[in-house]
Amino acid sequence: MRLVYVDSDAQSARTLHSEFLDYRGLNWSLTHCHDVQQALKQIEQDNFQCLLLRMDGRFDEAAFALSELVQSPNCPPILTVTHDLQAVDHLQLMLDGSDDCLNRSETNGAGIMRRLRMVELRSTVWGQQADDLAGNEDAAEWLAKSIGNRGSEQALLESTGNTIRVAHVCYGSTLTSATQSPNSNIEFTPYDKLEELIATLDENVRSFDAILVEQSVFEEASESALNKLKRFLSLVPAIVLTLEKSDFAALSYLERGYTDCITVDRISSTSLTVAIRKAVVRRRRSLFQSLSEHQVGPGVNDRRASVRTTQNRRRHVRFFAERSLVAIPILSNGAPDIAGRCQATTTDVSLGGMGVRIPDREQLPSRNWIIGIEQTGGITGYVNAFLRRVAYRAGELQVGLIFQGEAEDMLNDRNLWPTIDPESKRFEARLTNAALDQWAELGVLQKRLVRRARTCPECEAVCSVGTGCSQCGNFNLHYKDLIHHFACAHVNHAENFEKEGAIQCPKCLRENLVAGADFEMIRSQYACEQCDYEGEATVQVGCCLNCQLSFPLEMGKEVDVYGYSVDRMDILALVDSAR
Amino acid sequence: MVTLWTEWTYWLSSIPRDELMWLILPLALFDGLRYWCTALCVWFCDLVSRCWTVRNKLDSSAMRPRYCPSISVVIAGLNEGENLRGTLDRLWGTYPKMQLIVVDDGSTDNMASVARRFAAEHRGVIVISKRRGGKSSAMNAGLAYATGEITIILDADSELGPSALWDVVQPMKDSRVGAVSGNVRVRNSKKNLLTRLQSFEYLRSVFLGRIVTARLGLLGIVSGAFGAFRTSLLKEMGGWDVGPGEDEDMVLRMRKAGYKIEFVHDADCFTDVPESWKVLTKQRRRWEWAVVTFESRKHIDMANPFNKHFSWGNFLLFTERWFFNLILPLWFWIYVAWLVSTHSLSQLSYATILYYFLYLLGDLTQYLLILDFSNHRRRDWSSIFVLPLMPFYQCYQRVVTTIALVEEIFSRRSFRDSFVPQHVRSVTWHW
Repeated sequence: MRLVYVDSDAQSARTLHSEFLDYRGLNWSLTHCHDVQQALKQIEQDNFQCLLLRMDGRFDEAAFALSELVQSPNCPPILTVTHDLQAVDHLQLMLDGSDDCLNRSETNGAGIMRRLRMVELRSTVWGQQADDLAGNEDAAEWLAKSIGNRGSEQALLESTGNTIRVAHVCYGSTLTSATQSPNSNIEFTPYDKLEELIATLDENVRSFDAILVEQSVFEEASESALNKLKRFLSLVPAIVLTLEKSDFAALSYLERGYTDCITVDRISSTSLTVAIRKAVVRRRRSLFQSLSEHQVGPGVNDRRASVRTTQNRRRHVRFFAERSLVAIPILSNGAPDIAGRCQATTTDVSLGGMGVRIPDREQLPSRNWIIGIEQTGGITGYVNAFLRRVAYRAGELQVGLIFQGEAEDMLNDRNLWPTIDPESKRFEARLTNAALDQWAELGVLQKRLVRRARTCPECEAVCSVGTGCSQCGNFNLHYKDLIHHFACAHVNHAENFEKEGAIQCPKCLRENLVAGADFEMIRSQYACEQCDYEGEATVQVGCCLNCQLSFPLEMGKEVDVYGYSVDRMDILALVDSAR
Repeated sequence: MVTLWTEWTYWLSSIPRDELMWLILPLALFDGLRYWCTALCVWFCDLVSRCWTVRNKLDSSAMRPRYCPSISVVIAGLNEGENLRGTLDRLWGTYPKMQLIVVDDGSTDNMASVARRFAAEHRGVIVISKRRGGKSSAMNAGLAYATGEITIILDADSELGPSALWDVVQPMKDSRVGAVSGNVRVRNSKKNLLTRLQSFEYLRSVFLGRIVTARLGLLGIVSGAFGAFRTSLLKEMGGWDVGPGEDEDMVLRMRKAGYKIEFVHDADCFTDVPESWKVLTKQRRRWEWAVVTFESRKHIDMANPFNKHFSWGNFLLFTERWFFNLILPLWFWIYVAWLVSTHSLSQLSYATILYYFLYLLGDLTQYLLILDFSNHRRRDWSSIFVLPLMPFYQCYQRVVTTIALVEEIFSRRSFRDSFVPQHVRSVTWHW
């Protein structure tokens, strides 16, 4: 199996590659691409069975990458591996073009390979079915019912949407508990006999959105019954629950045309729910691709588009506004792309983003931008915006930008303000000082000295400061207290004043001395428990939190720590002015 | 002026011999006996001794100090941040086996930080910071950490001569010696007339006076500014008692214990003296109180023949102190009253001129003896210019002494003095 692997992180790619090596029983080759553009070139040059898209970033980036990939006519089926996305996001990515999705944290290399094989097999089988479906009215009917009744794809994605009807065929098996999931909009209709379901489907293929078949059916049902069910597999998505754990069993069901197979070790109400939703999405998308436009109905392309963009539908009202602005692209290292800096004009603004017209440009160097607009009072306010869509029309670029959320905002305080890095224990901002200095030179950021810290002379990490021995720096000091007896001016070590549990002056022999009235303690000398040095003058000793080096604080390296601030754009005022 | 001189000489020649004796006798008793006669006797004995040992003195190796015990120098002070660094810098490295202990007795200036900075730069320096408890407690705190055989007390505003530490420890070779007094000289003598007067006074009473009393075995004081003490003895005695006058008290306790006290006039310590009459008066009152407090009350047993601490040396010491420091100063005013009541104004004037010249003659004599003993003749030579004023200065001293004695005898003034903080003097013994 020839694979294309898209991952910007080389280390991650090497890790996955080594995990793939543990997967036995399959000959495979992996072509690693650093970005989508490189992957598109590879796809054009060669044939691949599957594409593995690794997206560690946010959902939008994955969706955008998918939209670019699926536009390629040679694009193989895609398995998207995300970092930590919800199931609903995975479904959305599948609507956007991915054949399957999973989180990297949920599985290892072998699991990914297994899913790859299923994606590849499903693609092969369904490719063979595509020709049969071309004129199939039942399929068109099922799709029309599926889309029309739902009104939108939202029902598939959310548990509170319209009901998804599932036929559950079970011959007295024990796997039914997984179907008793509360808080779900999936409605299970049980069937004791396969013939009854077939009869129902014969009567109306649109009766169910999916079929759930347990393995016991295949053990006891006749071959003819199975053949009869096989007729509907290209129309209605079907999922098999098997008592086996082997990948081969699962793959064998996919070869027969089933949409998915859940082995016994993965059966749960959650996995079942997700599998059903994924199966419906897969089948619906395959029918969109297989059926002709007249079968699906007018506006199929719009529906496809609407399916893809539902999640990202505008949430904020736009207002037309023409304000001149300065746009500075952000390079991957966080530094400004000074050459890419350009003047532009807004077309519309909203609380979520803005439309921008950039004249005399045909392409953009980056998707991440800092936008500066002069505000009331003559101060330029800046905001971090992400390129959502771009079009080249009438000699200028028309760009849709969305404002970055707090977590991704480059102008976030965590990026600009120095904090102690948990690993290196040094004062560091998330962005490098060199990059931030460049922003400061452009006038976007203001740089100022926020503290002058004594740091480790070796590694410049911050240090803890304590009072230590002036000779060896050890913190373990034992103080020798003196007692001063006022009446006779005698001063001696405290232990010499103790006699039978009372305080008695060894010089004048006065007894029962009262602290404060008759005597006072003098804390002055210490004894170092490491070097036995006795002295009064302790020194400030720094102990590096990183390399544990102890040093006199005055020997510490004095480091100037700079922070950066920005005049943020008042988006609310901007929108209000355009209202 | 010529007329006055003529009249005075006429008065002097016409006065009967017995009356002249009555006029001169007090002077002879006051300062003549104490300084002139004894100093001349000692000088003469010394002259003979020097002639006898002239051959040895020519051998320079015999002059070199050989005894080198370990010493602990305790510098106790209050608000001496300004002078401390210079003192420490000059002191460091002048003696091989030296432990340096600085005690900050509750200073409100930067004394402690100056000491700590010095301690950080020099190993073997101990710094003790404590709440103010008086000089005795400060020195005792230093004593608690003293490890040297000899403990040397030094004021923070003092400056030692080049070999002072070496010289002051030499008498300690004799195990019967408990303490050694250094020679305290005035450092700021050129500041004003008052300091010049004090400079000569120190030469006369400290330098010459202690040479004489030490030779006679009657030395009863070791200056708090610079003195050496046997550490083991100090610790055995529990350190200094509450002051003021703790230096004199310690010496008397050592004498009571049977130890000898020595004076080394070559061990110079230059210290700053008060530059105003007010401060000087306060200082001198404090010194005079000690005569009553310690020699007439606390250690009176030393002069009691039936007491175990009695010795003829101590008896002579006390007799000398009582006679010259207690009885005669008080008796002086009786004598003045007798003079005023029995003589006319012109006679009193002529008598005053007589006294002036006699005192001048006495001071000149002492001055010559001082120059003979001194190792700093060029420096001491300049004191001759204040000699004509010294009789007047002695009158001032007599007044102060009388006031101090009356204060201490009748009201125990020393225990209300701010030299010792309130929380200490309220619980200590009032002798």
